Amino acid sequence: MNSLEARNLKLSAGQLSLDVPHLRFKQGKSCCVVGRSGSGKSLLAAALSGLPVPGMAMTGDVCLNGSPADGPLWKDHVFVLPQEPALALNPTMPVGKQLAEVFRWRSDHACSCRSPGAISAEIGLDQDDLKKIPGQLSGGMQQRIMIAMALVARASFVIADEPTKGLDDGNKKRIIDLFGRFRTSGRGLIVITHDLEVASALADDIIVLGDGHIAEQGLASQVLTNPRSEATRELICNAPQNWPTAPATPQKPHCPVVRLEDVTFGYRRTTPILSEATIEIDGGEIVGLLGPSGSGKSTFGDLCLALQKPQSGIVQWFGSNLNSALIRKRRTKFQKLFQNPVTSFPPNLVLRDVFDKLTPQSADANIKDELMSRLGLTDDLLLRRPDQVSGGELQRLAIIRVLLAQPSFLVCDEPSSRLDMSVQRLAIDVIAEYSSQYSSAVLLISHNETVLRKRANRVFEISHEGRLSLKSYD
Amino acid sequence: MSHVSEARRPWKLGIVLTLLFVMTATFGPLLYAVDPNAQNLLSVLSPPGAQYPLGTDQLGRDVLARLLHGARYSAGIAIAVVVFSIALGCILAGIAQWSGGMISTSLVMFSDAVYALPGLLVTLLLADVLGGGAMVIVFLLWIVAWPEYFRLSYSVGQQIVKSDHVLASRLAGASGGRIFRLQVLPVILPYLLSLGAISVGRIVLAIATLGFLGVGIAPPQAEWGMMINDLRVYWQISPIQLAAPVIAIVWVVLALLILSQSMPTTKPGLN
Amino acid sequence: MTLAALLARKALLILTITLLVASCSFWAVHLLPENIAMQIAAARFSGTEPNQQLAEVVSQSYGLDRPILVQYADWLAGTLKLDFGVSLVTGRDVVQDIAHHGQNSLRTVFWGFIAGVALAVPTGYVCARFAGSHLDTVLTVFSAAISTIPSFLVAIVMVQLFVVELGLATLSGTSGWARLWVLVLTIALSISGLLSRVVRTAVIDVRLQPFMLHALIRGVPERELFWRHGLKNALRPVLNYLPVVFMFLIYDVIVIETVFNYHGLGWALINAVKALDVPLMQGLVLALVLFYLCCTTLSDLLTWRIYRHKAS
Repeated sequence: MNSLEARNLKLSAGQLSLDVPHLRFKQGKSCCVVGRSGSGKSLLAAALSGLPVPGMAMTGDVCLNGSPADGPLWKDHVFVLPQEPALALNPTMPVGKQLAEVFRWRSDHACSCRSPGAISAEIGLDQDDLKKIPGQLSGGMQQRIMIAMALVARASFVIADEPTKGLDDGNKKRIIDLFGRFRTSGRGLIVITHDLEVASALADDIIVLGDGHIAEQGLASQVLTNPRSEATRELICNAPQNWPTAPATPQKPHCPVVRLEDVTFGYRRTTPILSEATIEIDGGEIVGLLGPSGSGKSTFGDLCLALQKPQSGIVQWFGSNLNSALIRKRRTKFQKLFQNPVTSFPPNLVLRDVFDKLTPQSADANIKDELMSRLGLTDDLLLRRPDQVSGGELQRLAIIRVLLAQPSFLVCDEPSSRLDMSVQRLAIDVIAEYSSQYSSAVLLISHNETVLRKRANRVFEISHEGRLSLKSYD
Repeated sequence: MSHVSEARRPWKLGIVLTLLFVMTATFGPLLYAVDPNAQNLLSVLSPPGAQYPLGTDQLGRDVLARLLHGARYSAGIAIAVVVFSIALGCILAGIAQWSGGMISTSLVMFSDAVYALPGLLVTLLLADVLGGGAMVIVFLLWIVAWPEYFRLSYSVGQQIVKSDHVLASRLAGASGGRIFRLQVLPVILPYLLSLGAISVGRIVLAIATLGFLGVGIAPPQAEWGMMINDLRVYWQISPIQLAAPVIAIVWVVLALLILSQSMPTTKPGLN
Repeated sequence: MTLAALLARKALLILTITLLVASCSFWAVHLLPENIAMQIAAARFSGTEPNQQLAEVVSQSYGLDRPILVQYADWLAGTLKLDFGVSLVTGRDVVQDIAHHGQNSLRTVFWGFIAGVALAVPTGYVCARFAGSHLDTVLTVFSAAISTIPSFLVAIVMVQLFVVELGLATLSGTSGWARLWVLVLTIALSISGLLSRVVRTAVIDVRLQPFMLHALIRGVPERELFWRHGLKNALRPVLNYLPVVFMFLIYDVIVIETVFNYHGLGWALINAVKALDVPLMQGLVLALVLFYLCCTTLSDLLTWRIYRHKAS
């Protein structure tokens, strides 16, 4: 039985640092490393595999079977699944040919699969997909190709860095299922993730990283049900499945802020990405919108905001049909919170200028200060440019900017899905609070069903064919 | 993750070298007020000395004076062409961006067609027919130079206009003028200036080539390329007179190359 | 993009540019009608003082007295039929002149391009492989110098060095490698400066890509890594840069042929310009432009062929 050990590891890169007195991974077990972003998870992965990371300093030993490794382990003993499969695949070579490389140069003789064709059937890709280049495959398919490589590769351990990042629920489940095979093939699996759903589905053991140190480690069942450290408790309580359920909205007089009737839209006329959608969103209500990647969720939001014109059907604001005068009059009352906070601020401006010159000035000057202190932000942040502020802080500033417009209707397009769960929760909580206080309508777009179930009053789903349907939860 | 690339070291060097060129072109002929066309057949090809700091050419003209006036000539044409091209390119890009549809498509196609023309050929074809002279050269180089600026400002502009942060400002009710002033112009300008710097260098080179070929620039005019062509046969007798315009050309092209490559820019769309 | 669409777009571009050049030269000449007749008269009957009478003779014999739109349509139609008329100076058919000089130019340009690529690609690759070393610095400074110095200077230096000083080549006679090799080398040097920089950047960039590292993880041996995964990706920026190289080639044809007094298209163009031989000028410029456009079309087709997967 092989084992992978870290002894007295001290890692640092830029502002990140991580201290690992001792860690031991065993073959045939799967272990998840969880922690907030910035806790040094990826540093640990790099150190264990020996892959070069620019700017990383490392002291201490990584040992294989009790003796310090005499070379980088990634060549023979450890297979690394990188964070972005799109970047790890050669963009000009068919994926099948790249898969075949593993067979040619790094195949595991114990593996039952002998050809790329056989393994591709196991991961749910057909022969034609193997002839495609990475750009022609979806993110989930690319990730499955990487997993297929890991399945046939000669390695005692597989390290996966955020394998479910940016994937929707369907793809996530598939990936988790496939990961089970590493255990059955007797390899050790080390998964770095911030998603506790993934961790609880996969892990035998869990290691929780706090800021720069190991906060807690132990059996998954124990750590997740009976957390002993603050870092673990925070992670657990911020996981969407543990969010408190939103109180049911009190019945209010029926007054739809936004109403869509038989709306059809498509960038190409023959294939609508939204067909005959009808929906009413009332003030004070949070409506969730669910759908697989690429199903047109964002387009639906844009239609509600009058940023796109429907091919047919009616869009109404406050009960009257849209026209340019109405849009001009009400523009600032229909707002959008973007998926990525970094892109929603001009890169060249100091944040204060954005707030002073490019944000509606509300009558009450104190609102901004109140929101700032409520979200734990200080004024000196405003003297910086967007790239000098962290993603979490920027997301909070983006929320403040949107709320300063006092919107009657707010589209939240996967708010901060690329950030931590804690930031995500904060974002959604603040918006929900605002919505109930000012009885404004909110359209919450997400591919994470749990988030929507916890926070939305009603949840709609868009199918690949562009049909909108109400989901019911009992 | 830094979105504003740090100004690199050569930036200052490029600025200094370029400023020197511009200052020389502007003030040189004023400070060294010698007629560049005054011939002195008694001291033809005389070596550098007290009277002629860089010596004289085959007609006994003061090489330093000709060098300075040549700098003014090249710099004047190059800067005029770049300024006109930036103006035309940006205006047309604005029109294309604003109107969209057929107008935009045909403008893009037209600029692609002009862009695909080797510019010097057009100048060669028309310069002498139109009678030569600085204005004609400016006009011809302008005609072939603007598509570069159009393409640049159109594509960068499009990225900015389609970006989330512009949409966010639009939703926040900011006017088009304000968005342009705060979010579009400051981002696009460094790109235009960077391209402008490199094309000033290229135009100086093109003028020298025209002068060397003897097309479009009338002979008494002091011009570097023409000086090189005139003096190249006397290179053994008067190497310094020949080296002066050569060094001047290399200097200017190099300075502007350094300047343009080290100009700090902000990415138009972030990701 | 499909092949048909690509070819259609290129054909449209070539047609537009042909008409553009033809229109430019036509209007430039004919907006100054007296001027042109006088100038032609001066060029054709050099020696005699150009006067009104001669100008009228010229005007009639070249059909310059017809309505201008008729002349314009005639001119465009002629251009599209590749009939550029006869040279004002020699009286020979312009197309014949182009064919004659084109052969000479084509030979030097072809070998110059091959030699330039053969010089630039290995240089750039070696620089990239040993980026930061002394070798890299020396080659970088050299190629930067070559690309900064105008090509007429390079040509002058080559003539001085190989023809005048060393006597290894001649400036007379039209064919034979004893004369051509200096020309070819000069063209090669003048395009290789920038091209080798592009190759260097492309190779360095591709070697830093994460997919190169992951190929190593898959077990691809290091000696095969670049050829298997790097080459095709590094080639792309180089192919995209080729139009610029072709543009330089066209300029080199003009400048270098003039310096070497080599009777090709460029040399003929400069002489036609100096004699204000408008039909010949227009024909030569169009020939050079079309040659340039054919080269870019070929490189686009090559790019399309290599990366056609990506287009869909």
